[in-house]
Amino acid sequence: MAKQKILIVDDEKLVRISLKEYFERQGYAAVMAEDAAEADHLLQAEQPNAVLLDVRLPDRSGMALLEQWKQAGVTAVVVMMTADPKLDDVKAAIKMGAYDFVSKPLDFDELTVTLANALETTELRQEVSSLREEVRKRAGYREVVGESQSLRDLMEFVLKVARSEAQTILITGESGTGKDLLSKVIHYNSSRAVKPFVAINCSALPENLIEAELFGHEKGAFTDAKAMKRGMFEMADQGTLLLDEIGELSSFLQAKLLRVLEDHTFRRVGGVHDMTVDVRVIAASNRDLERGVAEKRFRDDLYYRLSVITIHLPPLRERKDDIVPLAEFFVRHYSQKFRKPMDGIMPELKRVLLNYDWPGNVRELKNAIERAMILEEEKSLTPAYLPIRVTTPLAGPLGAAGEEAGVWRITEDGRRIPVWEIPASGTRLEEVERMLVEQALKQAHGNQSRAARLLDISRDALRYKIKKFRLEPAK
Amino acid sequence: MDWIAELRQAFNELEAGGRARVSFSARPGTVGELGREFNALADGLEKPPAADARERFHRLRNQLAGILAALHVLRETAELSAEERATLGQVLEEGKRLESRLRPG
Repeated sequence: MAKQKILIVDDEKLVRISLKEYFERQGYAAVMAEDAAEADHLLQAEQPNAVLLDVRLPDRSGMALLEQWKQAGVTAVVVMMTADPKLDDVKAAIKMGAYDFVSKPLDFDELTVTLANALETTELRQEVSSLREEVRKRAGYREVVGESQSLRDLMEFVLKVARSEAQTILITGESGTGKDLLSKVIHYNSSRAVKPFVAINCSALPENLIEAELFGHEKGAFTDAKAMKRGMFEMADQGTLLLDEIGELSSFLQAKLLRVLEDHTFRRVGGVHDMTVDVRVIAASNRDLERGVAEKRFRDDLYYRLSVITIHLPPLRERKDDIVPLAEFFVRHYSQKFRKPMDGIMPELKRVLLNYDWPGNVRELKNAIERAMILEEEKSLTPAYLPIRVTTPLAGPLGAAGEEAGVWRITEDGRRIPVWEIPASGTRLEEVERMLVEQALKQAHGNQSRAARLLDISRDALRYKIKKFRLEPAK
Repeated sequence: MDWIAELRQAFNELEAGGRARVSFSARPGTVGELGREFNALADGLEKPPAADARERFHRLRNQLAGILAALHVLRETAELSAEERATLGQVLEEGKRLESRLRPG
């Protein structure tokens, strides 16, 4: 590991040479400057990690030099030194961005600790900054892939909203359309980008736990509250809070949420003091909230508060132009992740992808490409290993339309489960199972692997069922 | 290491308000630099008070800070006997006491 480098700036030669020798013995590298001009030159040339800077220099004040460096975005940490410490100077230097102030005669133990802390703090800041940049890149605009005019118009609007002062934003769209990604794009393209982005799925926890998660709790607020806990509103202060599946929030929490949105204040569970926060709330829902309002399941005042700015993400079937670019993006992504170079996708695969209506939207497309990438043996991706439901779409109403018609129910990963009504006289589960196995074998033209995939079971499990039901494999 | 004893004596005289100079200012390296800086400090103390006392004392304190920094590093790094190291520690303490004289008013 390279040594940390210190630039020592002092017009007193004995101070310079003594500090240089002292810190070199401590394992640092050190360079010296006797005036501001030399210091400025060495800062560029040597790129030190830290600077020990005297307040008084022959050609210019150290404070003016500090101000110039901070305005120029210099990242080296600066510790000021002076033989004439005045409180106003100390305050001004700290305000300008100096890490600390030490007085002369120098206390070497104090200086050693100050410098070590300063360098550690800077390292942590740089680490946090680079991690934030990484997250920002991952959640950035570039990750929203698509070429359709509707998506371009949408992204233009999203970026405008991100940079606005809007405190609440509602994102609607079917499951898998990318509401979570879009909320990150909004956060990382806003002035809140350097502050926290916090997300919670409102349907994932029971009401009492959601309340404690959102608003925090005081020690002893309930049986398991062994210690005080900060809630997500506190953690997201000055940043962004994503409330996913907002439609699932209970009426009690809807009222509490409305208060935070209106007054920016709330109380921890079991708390007696109001807390004030500055949080941008992004609410996301795959449900029709307007219908929820009409059916009295969702508060109208909260709905109107949330829907001041509404962004609707269209389903993938309504923006077919984005399917192929998205597929190509996922191929590149998994190619890198699985270290499996792939030239691209075959024209035949493009046709298949465009012929399917993607009820599970981008998430389903992503999962389908991932599966195909794992199994593909060719240099370009073919339709051979796509899920069977994609390559041989069932007859009848497709996608969400089919779901609405009650033909099938769509699962999280985009699979369609047939919906039947059991006759009042009852049925036989074994017969239904037998019928499904028969149907799968028929659709797969007797290919047991494909039939097993249609039923999402292993080939051995299918063979067992064929034997059990004494079914002759179709030729 | 006769310079240590000489410096200690010189600091004592300065602190008592007397005149003092050291003879090792012509030596090479840090010790010589230390001697020159001490003599410059003594010169500064003997000069009649200037119009800008604050500026004058700031300069003197800065010089003294350099001397003390060099003494601190020499005590830690130079090849010294235990006795010499202890004496250097005393010189440092005397130097720090002198600092209180270097304030205006």
